[in-house]
Amino acid sequence: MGNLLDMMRFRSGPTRFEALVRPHIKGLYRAAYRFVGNSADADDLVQDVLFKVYSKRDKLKKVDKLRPWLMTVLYRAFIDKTRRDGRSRLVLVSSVKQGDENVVDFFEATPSPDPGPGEITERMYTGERIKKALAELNEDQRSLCVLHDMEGFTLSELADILDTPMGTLQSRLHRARVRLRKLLSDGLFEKDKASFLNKG
Amino acid sequence: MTCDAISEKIDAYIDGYLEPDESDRIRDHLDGCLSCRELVSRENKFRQAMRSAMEEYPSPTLTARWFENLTSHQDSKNRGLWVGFSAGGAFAVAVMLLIMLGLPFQTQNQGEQLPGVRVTLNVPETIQLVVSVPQDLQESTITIMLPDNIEFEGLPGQRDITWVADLQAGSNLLALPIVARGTGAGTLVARVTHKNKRKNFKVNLDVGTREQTPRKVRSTNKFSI
Repeated sequence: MGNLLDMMRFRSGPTRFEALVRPHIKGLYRAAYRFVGNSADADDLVQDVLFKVYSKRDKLKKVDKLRPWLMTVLYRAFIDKTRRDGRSRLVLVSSVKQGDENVVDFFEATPSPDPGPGEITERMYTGERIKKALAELNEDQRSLCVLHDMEGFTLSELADILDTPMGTLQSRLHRARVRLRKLLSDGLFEKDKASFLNKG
Repeated sequence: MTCDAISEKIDAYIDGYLEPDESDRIRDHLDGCLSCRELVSRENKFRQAMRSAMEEYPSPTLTARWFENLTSHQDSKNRGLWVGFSAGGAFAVAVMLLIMLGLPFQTQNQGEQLPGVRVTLNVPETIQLVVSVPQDLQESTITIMLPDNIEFEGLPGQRDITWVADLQAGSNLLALPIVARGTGAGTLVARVTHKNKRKNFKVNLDVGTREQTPRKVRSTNKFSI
C-alpha cells in the first residue's frame, strides 16, 4: 500500500517544485546578494524564500509570471529579515571631506560599455563601490534601486511587487538615485579611491 | 525646452517612461545641446554600471543544498504533524475509511447514510483514509475539509488542507491527525480531483466529551463507500 504522504513529499513535492523554481534560482540569488551585500546572508535569504514558496507550492501553478512573484516573496523576506535583525547587515564605509582633491568622479571610474580584458579589474572596483554606496541607502531606497536599476523591473511591475503606487515609486526612485550618485561622486571610499588612483 | 527642464525629466526619458512626443522634444533639444548630451551619456554609464554590479551567482552545490533542505524541512514538519501523533496513540482512535474511487467519478447520493465515527473532545485522534483507485492518477488534487468544531492537530484553527499527489493504482493511505475543539456533529469532506473530474466523500464526525465517549486504545472501523 503506497503512503499518500510519501508520494506528496517525494513524487509530486520537491521534484515538481524544483522544476518550476530552479530556472529562477540564479536571478533570485543575484537579487538577494544585491539586497544584503554578502553571500552568507544571501544564502539564508534564498533558503528562507524557498521554504516560504514551498509551503505555498499549490499556488505556483496559478502564478502567471513566476519571476515577479518570486521577487515579491524575496523582497518581503528581505524587509522582514532586516527589521528582525534591527540593523543593516551591510558594512558601513568611511567618508572623506567634500572637496578633497583626491576625490574620484564616479563617472570617470565607470567602465566603458564594452570593457576589454584590462577593464575587468576596474569593473570589479566599480561594483564594490556601488555595493558600499547601496549599503548607505535605507531598505526602501535600496530595494528600489536593486529591483529597478539592477534587476530591470519596470515601475509598473514594481507597483505590484512592492505594493506601492507608481507615482510614489517614481519620486522615491529619484531620491534614491540622487543619494546614490552623491555617495558615489563624493568619493566616499578612501581605500577604493586610493587603489583606483594608484592604478592610473 | 530648457536645460533645466531636461534635467528634471532625464530619468524618465532614459528609462523610457515618457510619452513619444515628449521624448521627441527632448531629442530635439539634445541635438543642439552638448552639455545635456553629456548628462545623458553620464546617466547611461551610471545605469550600465548598476546593471553589471554585484552579479553574484550560487554554486551548483549551494543550489542543490537549498532543495535538499526543503525535503528534510518538510519531513521534520510532517513528522510533527503526521507521525508524531501516532507516538501518542494510546488514546487514539484509528478509523479506517475505505474509499473506492472509480472512474467515471460520482458523487454520493443525496440522503445516503454517511459513515460516521465518534471522537472525543480535546483528544488528538487519527482518522485513516484509504483512497483506492483502479489506475494511477497523476497529479490528483486532494482536499480535506473539517467541520467547524474540529481542526488539524498541530495546526490550530486550520480546517482545510489541499495538496497535489500522484495516486497509485490500488490503495493509498492517508493518516489525518485531528483534534475536536467543540462538541456536536459535523461532516468531514475529502475531495479528490483529477483533471476535470471530482469526487467528494463525506464522513460524519460526532464529538463527545470523554465521559460520553468510551476510551479505546485502538479500534478500527471500516466503511466502504
